[in-house]
Amino acid sequence: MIGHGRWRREVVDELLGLLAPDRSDALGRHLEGCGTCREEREVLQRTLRLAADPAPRTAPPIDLAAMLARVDAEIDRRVAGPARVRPRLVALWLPAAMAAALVLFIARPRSTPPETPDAGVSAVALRQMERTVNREQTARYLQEAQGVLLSVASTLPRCERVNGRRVGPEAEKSRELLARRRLLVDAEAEHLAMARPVLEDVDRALGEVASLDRCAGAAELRALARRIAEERLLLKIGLMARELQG
Amino acid sequence: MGEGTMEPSDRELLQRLAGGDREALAPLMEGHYRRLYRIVVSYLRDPDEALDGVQETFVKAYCHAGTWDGRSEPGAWLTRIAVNEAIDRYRRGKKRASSFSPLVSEPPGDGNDDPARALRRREDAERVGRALATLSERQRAVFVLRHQEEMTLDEIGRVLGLRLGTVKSCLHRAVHALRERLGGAR
Repeated sequence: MIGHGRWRREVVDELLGLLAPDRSDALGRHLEGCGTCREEREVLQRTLRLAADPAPRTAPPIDLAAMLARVDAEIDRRVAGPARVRPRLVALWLPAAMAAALVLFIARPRSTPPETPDAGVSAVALRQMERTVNREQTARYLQEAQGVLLSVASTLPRCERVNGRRVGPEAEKSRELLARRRLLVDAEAEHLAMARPVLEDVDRALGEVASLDRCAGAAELRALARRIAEERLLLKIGLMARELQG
Repeated sequence: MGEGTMEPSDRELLQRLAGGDREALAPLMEGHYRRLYRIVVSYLRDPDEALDGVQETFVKAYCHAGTWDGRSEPGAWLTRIAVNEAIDRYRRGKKRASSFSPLVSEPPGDGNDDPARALRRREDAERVGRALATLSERQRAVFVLRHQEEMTLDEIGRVLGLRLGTVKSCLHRAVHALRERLGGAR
């Protein structure tokens, strides 16, 4: 005679669809005559029904294209390497700006115009040096912007708001970058003409990040990440930065 | 028989991915995105965490495609990555339990729920979430893969790297643990 324990195990197997047909028939015959096992089967059946329903919404809340955009952005971030926002990198702005200022100070127009041919060559060389410094500054701006946008496009830590993500550092860094950009990057300069479209896209994206709350909604961030991925903005930034740095 | 290119199989896509062909990722995701999301959300019971988990699953699939040995089916290989990712996130969630939701999400309504029924559904979802939280990570994984995904015990064993007997005993323990906590619910 099989004890209730064995029948109980077979009831679980039967409810999970794991019981062989011959055992299923035997179990059925047993249940007809055993109230204890019949009641236990009802409890287990109710348990499994409850565990399956209510279940979380099992259809993804974002479509395949949006998930592909997120995956692409994260892969780009990892392939690009540690291009994250680093406060110490911001300090590089200052030496570059100071170097540019020094160059301009040395090259300032003097009261006595040069009379020798060497002075003309020097002016050309100085202009070239200015352009080089400008291009370098622009490349660094783009790289720092890339770090911010990569961070926004990847998984951010949760914050106190329901479905919220902490984006305060990225928003603050965006505001800082945009302020420095206005000071140090002249997008209207002829030698930066090819960077203008990317700079406009980056300005727009950073502007969006700068306007986010410290604890932003996940849906809002997903939409922003999706736009960044659809525009291939991170890739464009990387390519333009390399172009500017020669 | 009409002409036309046959769609590549998952094996071909994964081989291409292992060779560095990033274009193979989109069709591979198309075939597995909804299924993997279903598994991960059933495990974590949090849609946002599940989206992050599935995202990380596909990123890892791309980055580690070269480790696929070709013996396992691509679907099972991806499922294994997804389940491990879900378990990791679950562990991290338990560690920050004070600021993390108890892995309970709003159950789907049918749009015609009256407030009392909607409240009852939410209470049931919370009770199920608390009951699932008492399972071990392995029991939870086995239960989700069997009860939600209806995978065979063999498939579950291959995904989780467990012997058949271990899968079965895990499943039984999970069911009985849930029965202890939910068995009185009507």
